[in-house]
Amino acid sequence: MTNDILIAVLLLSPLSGFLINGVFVKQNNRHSVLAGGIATLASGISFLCALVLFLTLTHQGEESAIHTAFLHWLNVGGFKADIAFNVDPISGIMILIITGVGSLIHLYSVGYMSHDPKPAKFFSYLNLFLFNMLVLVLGDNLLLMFVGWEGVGLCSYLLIGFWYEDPEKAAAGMKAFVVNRIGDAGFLLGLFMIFLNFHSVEFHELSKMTFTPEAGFWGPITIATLCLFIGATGKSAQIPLFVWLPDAMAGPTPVSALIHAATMVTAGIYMIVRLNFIFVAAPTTMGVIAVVGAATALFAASIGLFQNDIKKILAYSTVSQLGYMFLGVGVGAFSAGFFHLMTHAFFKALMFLGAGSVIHGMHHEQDVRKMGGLRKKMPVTYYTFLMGWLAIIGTPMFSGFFSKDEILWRAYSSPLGSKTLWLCGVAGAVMTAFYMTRLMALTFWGESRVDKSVKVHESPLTMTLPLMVLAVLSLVGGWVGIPHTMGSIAGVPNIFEEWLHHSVHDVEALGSVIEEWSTMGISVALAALSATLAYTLYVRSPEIIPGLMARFRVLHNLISNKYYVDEAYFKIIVDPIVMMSRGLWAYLDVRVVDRTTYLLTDVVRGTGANLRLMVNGNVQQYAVYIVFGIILTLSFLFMR
Amino acid sequence: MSLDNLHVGINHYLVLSGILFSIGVLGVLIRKNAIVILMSIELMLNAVNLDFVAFAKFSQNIDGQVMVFFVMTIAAAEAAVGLAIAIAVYKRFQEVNISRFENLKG
Amino acid sequence: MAGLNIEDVLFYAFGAGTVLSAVLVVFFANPIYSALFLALAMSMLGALFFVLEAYFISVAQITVYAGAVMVLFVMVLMLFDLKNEGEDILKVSPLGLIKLLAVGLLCGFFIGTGWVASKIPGKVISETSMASDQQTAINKDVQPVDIGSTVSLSRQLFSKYVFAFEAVSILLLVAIVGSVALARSKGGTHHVSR
Repeated sequence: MTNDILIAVLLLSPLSGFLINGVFVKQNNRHSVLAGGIATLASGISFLCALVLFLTLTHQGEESAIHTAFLHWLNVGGFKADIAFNVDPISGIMILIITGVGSLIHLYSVGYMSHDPKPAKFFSYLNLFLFNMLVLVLGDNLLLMFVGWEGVGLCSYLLIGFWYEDPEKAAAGMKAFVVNRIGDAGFLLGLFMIFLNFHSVEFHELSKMTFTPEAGFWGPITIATLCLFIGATGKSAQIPLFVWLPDAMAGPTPVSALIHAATMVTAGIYMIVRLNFIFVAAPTTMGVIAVVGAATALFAASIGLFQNDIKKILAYSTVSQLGYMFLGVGVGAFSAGFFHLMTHAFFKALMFLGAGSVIHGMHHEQDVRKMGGLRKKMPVTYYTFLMGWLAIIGTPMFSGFFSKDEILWRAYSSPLGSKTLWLCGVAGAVMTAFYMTRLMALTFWGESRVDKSVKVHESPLTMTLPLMVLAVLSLVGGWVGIPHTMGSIAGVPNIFEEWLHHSVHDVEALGSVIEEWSTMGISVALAALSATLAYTLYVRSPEIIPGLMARFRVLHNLISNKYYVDEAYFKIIVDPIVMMSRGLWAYLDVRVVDRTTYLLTDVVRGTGANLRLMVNGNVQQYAVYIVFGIILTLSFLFMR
Repeated sequence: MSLDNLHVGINHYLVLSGILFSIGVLGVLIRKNAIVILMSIELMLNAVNLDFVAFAKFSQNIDGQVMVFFVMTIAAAEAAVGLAIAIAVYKRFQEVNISRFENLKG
Repeated sequence: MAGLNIEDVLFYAFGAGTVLSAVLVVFFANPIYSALFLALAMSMLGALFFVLEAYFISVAQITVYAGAVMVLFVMVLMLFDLKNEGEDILKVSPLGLIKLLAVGLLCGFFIGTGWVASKIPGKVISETSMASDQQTAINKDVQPVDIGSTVSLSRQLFSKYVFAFEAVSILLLVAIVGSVALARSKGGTHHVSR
């Protein structure tokens, strides 16, 4: 009973925050603290509920789940979907991440958006996003999950285009929504196919079914899972639908932190982990997922090498890290991929918030070439960001190290993986280390290239407190998932994996312990080398950089311009469609449809004008009509 | 051709009543004088009265005549009110020719 | 002619008279003539009622209709002094023809129905009659039993239809008040004002 109330409060708290901020709080700058307070409070209440639910779950044991059904929603022709929510080991972790990191970001936004003209709108959207994300992860069937899926897509659009008076920002919002939509079509198709083949879309029911593994591309499970994966590529920004995420940096930085680092983009991974029992039955799909993930990880990392906007670097880094998560689930290491989701949420949110702090302190300067030496001017931001950097490059003992290495090891050793995938992963890790170190070097280390007129200041406590909390988490967050090979030395179990053990069935790794240690060592060593190289280049001898750039000019241009992917999309897809619709408009709409409707109106008007002549005030004429009517009626009656 | 049809039955009365009614309708449609139109309406009502009485006789039920009683009363009342209106109109317009009163034109 | 009663003869005689008078009502230009011929038609109708053995109704017809209502009409016509407003009844116009056509159709409908019904013995009345056991009495000579007397009429009127009776009396009251209110003018009926 209390679980029902807890889940209800968990969901309704951000929803009420959305309504209160959206309807009752005035949209002006003076109320920013009030709006922010309401939103953070709502988020905090959700976090408390999530915490209690999680603890209840731990007491119940790993096998069980807390299930609450609120409403019967659909029951049409065998298709049954209820408004019911399920807190099980997987979603339990997700709600903690969402509400926990979410609350920290809400707190941060109070400071960040203090100068904004419409803070109440921002906070209402943030709360709405929280609500939708919670619906997504807690829904007990695919349709309810899709409701949340769409909802977060909507909130993403609203928040990216928050400063919509700027056409570029509005366009970025639209791009996010449209690209997401393409993925959503895939999701829906997958949903339909699953219903067609298995007559249920409820997770619990599906988990009880047995799925015979298929080979090739054309089995029903394979097609369904491929369609679902297309949805995941849209939401989680993988090849080919990743193009919206870098543009999404047009939104306020807390949005980038919350939605495009910690939560929304993880929805795709979550969905695959949720349905792991279906995906393992389609090895072809898993292969596709792994390949796409690895390719994206590599591709995005390479673009991140040469970006100059601090947020864009982090954006491509996010795409790349998401690729790692997909690589993980693609080779059957669902818990590893999920683990990386969690650690990534910590350190990427941290880094985005840190970047926001930098931007705030630099009075909205975002180009790293104009920064430098900020570690003296913004110490708290610097030290927390440092923790995030250490985590992402895979420094041992930090959270990123454990999760990323687990994925790399699984890519190497799983029957669904291969050495090639592992190599791609390692290459991506090398590039990650390089560009993150470059970011650190250009922003915080070295000499200051800051314009003299800009007075740099540290951010207020509301902004730095979340940074500190997240920094701690970036360090210790990985300690719950220490792999067996390492943990057995100190007798520390892999809590994370054991927690997920009953809900998620990983594909076993086939490899020896020596191989595991070797791969770990190789990746760490290479990452360290790469970081040192970046440090040397950008801090010690920045003068050789232009020379290097000139030597590899073609390659450099290609990568700096993001491989011209956006341009290609526009040319191949968008422009032809726009031309076609213009053509259709000119021919079909104007010539055919409009003409027909005008014809209709003319006919009606003409008839009316003619009929009007009947009404001439001559009462006796009306009486004639009456008589005719009487005759007609009587004849009808008579005929019977 | 049997002469049986000449023997008066209910149908004869119905036909007669119908003819009278039609003549009344003709009067309503053709005449322009408001009073004459009222008179034609009285004629129509009388035709109906004939019907009722005929039915009363041929089905041996007095209710038809009761109906006539009421129709007569109401027709008289209606005639009175209609004429009052005609008087009021005449006072205002000095005529009762309805072709002059076509304000609803268009 | 064999088989024709006095009632049949009277029917045809008075019937023709009524129709003729009615036609003349419509076709005289002078409204006074129309009124007079309407009075005549009503009297003929009264006679028909007599033939139909509705004695009370017959007398009431002559007293109320021909006597009171028509006098009222004539009185109002006298007030108007419309002699010089003769209408052109015989104007042939497209609308006039349509009107004739409509009325002709209506009349033809009635006649046709009556004619068809007469071919079906016992059909017309049996669906409308309230005394359905009298089916055999249709289209034949009927020897009614004291059907038109005042006593039997009033018996029904004051028992079964007493509510309607009272309601009609109120209606008459309303009509009186209404017509007085409508036709009244300030300061009398003369145009010469005080």
